[in-house]
Amino acid sequence: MSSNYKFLILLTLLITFLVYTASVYTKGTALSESNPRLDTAAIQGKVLWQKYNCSSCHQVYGLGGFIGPDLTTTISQKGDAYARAIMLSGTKRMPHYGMTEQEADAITKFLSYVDSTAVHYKR
Amino acid sequence: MLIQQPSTISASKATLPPNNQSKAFSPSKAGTLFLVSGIISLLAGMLYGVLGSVQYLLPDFLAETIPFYKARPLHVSLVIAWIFQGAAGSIYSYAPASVKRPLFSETLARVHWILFVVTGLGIIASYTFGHFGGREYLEYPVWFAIPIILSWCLIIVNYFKTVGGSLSKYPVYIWMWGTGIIAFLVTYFEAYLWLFNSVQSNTVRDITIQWKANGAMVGAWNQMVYGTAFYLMERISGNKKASYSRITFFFYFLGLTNLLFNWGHHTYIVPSAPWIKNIAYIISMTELLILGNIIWNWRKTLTDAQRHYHVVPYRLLLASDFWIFVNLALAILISIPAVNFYTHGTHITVAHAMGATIGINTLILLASAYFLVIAIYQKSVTSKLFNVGYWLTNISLLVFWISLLGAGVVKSLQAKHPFSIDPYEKYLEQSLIWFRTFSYSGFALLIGLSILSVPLLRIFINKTQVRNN
Repeated sequence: MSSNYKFLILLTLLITFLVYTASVYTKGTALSESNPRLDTAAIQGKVLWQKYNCSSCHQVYGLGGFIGPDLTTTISQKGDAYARAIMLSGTKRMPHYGMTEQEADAITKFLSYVDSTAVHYKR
Repeated sequence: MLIQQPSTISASKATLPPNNQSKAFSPSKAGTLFLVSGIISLLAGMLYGVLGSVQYLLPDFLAETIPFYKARPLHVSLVIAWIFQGAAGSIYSYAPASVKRPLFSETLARVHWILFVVTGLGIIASYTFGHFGGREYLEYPVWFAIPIILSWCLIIVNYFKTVGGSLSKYPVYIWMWGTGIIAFLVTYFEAYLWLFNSVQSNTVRDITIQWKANGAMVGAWNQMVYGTAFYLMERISGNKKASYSRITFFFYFLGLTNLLFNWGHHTYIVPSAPWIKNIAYIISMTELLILGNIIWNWRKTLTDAQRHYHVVPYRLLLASDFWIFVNLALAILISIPAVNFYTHGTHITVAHAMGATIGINTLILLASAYFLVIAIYQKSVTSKLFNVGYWLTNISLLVFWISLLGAGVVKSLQAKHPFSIDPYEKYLEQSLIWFRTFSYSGFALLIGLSILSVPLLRIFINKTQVRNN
């Protein structure tokens, strides 16, 4: 295969990738009625989700560990109160992190937003 | 795909790379340092993996000292660190010889190693004390990303200054290393786009980009590791033609296309635009060509295996070819949307990830480390103990892989919907036999990999020789 062909293929792939990536970052993942913009409290909940490394045991949209249940639709299935109670008290498998009520509220808010987007889970 | 070169060396000389039999090999010392710290990372990562697996069976086991939320990121990060260190070590060691030029800067390479190791120790301390803040696979506090990016820039400069500007005349592995190094940096930046509000405040965009970055990052390290495998095969067989052939470059570009576009098969359940998933599905299915190529070459592979059976790196590459075959078959299967709906979020995905990181990446990188030892010390490292480690690693990995599939199938069958949280404790109980199996086989795997890698460490560190069989 000649050098020119190799560079032409590489260049074509790179340009296609750039166009494709720009589309994924914009139209492919645009906000919508089923994908509302997160408010400040939910973003704070997402930051806490990362701080407590919840994804080590739980998944959201397949991202995370497997020793605990997937939490993508936990709010619609179990409700806010149940989720908050688990976070505040822990379980046999889940450590008691000593979260404040405000922190548990924020994570619950974040999970509620995730749940509202999970249309494919609920088909 | 990897083991396809005809042999030109005799069995009596098969313990040494043909091109190195008459002259000493003096690779970059930084390359060796990377392999040493990489092997230590692998063993430590495996140990944390075993501890984590025991916690599936005994939730209270070390629950205060190393709870699962610490053990898992330690396990994952250390094993990923091994892959990057093994790949970087191989590239520093082989790239200069491949292009017949000295490494641009040994000092830069050592600074890279120091930065990487110091940052790695910082991340381990951070996890141990429970300081997180990042995302899946990159759970450390965000500022650790700065030295990682800096250190990676050093290998980019060193590599491209070493190989020069005329990539076109070089074999396929020079291209693979180059694209792998660049692609990692791009995907790493992408993994931190969540710091921007337009991503952070949009759940679907955030999750999609996270999968995009993670999926492509795996593709990036595969380019580096597979490039190393191509290099090793060329050196073992002495046949340089394949590394320049049209068919090899075809598969290189196919692999690159998959790196760039096939990540979307992770997002079938994410409500992003349908075209993202359609493109990913079509691209994923092109992997069938790679699978077909492996089957096509299988017979020749077996013939070569007989000739090269006593070449340690060759045997490790041969085993990795088997793992490529089974993991690729699994990957293609779970890329089919109807199948993916039930398998995603189960241990079947873990089986795919573990089979690839251990069966493919780790075995290729261990082959690279053995090749380097043989090249530097001009000594055979075949021994009875190696055989024990080789078979223990492969058999225990097979049992481990099957047990993960078993746990995944139970979850898919047991729940009326695979993502239902109602029966989770029930699922854990029903899968106990599989969890036991993966915990025990995981321990056997740790022993097998220790048998394979501790002698390498001994040689690299003490510069002693392994007693031949």
